[in-house]
Amino acid sequence: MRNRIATIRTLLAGSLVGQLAAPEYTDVLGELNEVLRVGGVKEAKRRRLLEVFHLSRSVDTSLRAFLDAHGWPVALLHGIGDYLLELQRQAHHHPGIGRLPAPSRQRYQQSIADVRNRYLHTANSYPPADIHSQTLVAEIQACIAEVVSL
Amino acid sequence: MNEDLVNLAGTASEYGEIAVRPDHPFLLHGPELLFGSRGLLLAFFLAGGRIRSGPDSLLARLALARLALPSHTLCVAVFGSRVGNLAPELRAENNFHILLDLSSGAEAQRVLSKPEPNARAQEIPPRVRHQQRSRAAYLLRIADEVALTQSGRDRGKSVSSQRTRIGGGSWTGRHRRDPGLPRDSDRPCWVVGSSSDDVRTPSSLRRAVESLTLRSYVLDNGVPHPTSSGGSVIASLGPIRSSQDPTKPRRAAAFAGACLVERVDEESLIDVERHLGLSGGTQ
Repeated sequence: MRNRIATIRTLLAGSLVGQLAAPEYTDVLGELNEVLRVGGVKEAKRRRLLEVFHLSRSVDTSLRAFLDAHGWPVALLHGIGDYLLELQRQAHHHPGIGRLPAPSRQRYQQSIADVRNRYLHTANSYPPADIHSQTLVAEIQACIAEVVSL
Repeated sequence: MNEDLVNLAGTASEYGEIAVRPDHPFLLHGPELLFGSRGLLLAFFLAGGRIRSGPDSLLARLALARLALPSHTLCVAVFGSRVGNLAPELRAENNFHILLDLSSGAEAQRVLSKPEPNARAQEIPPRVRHQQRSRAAYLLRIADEVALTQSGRDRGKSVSSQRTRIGGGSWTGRHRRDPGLPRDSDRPCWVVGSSSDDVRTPSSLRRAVESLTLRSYVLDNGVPHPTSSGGSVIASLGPIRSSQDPTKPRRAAAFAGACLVERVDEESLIDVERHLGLSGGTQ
């Protein structure tokens, strides 16, 4: 996990988000640090939920900061579903930023937004095994890596 | 770990964020070191002649890394000192943005603080990047669908004991312990593993992915130009276990242009052929 987090931190530092050093960037780094800290939580279901929780907040804020840094009007966007849709549609031209392929948007909507909403908004809902939280964590990392390299 | 890499990472960490042997979700084997600071992104590849993997492997890794990393990433060929001299086959002065000679004093600090890319390595056209991304996303979806269908039924007839055709090419899984090219095929299929009980790690895909990349792209001034737009197949006779990132084998294979089928059987081959629009059929 440590190396995967280091890779995401480095990609963000090397992006316009890192260049502008907006407050959101510092917040994202804080969330990624929390992901590593909760790795020491002994109770497995709590650890899995906390990993999902902190990485979810990091992907939401990373995408928002990315859109903001590249000139998107983000005030009316309210979460990862909106951000992904904007990156796919690109109703306005944003120089140097490619469109997010439709299958990627659909994938991240289903594998991140839909899955994590279940864990974060439903009482007594936890990733039932490590493979579930690991899959979600991996999808979140793939999403950040794909978006910063559009 | 290579001592030069340790020293380089130590120096780089004073200038910004680093990931040593970064675990990128789309790459089985990316650069040895990734460095990011204030919008600057550098990918360091050990490129000296004493690196075991060889020039072809390095060029395949470079091609995929350039496609996976942001377009402004500067790729650095590291040589000298214990790493050895640059292999001429790399055409490093053309394919990399920066050449870093470790035997030359404070060169690393200069590259990290004020990199000066050469003019030859060019940017990948946005169209190429988008087409490659779209194909990868499509292939990953197919691989997921095939895996989902497989999980809902009993394992079918093994393909390891007979000749199998994919898209007009043929291969015999039984005799192929290592990935290799099939005969007479424009749509190659790579085979990983030696039996259906052979549990592999994602690194077992590396040779197949690198072969596929060398076949699918021509690297010209650092730009991987695609030679075909279709998808290939990597068939693993057994499962591939990736404990920390369960989807990585399928994702990385798709990014390189192949649909990965694990625990391959005849039905899954027919399934993947149908999805990819291949005409071969099984024999």
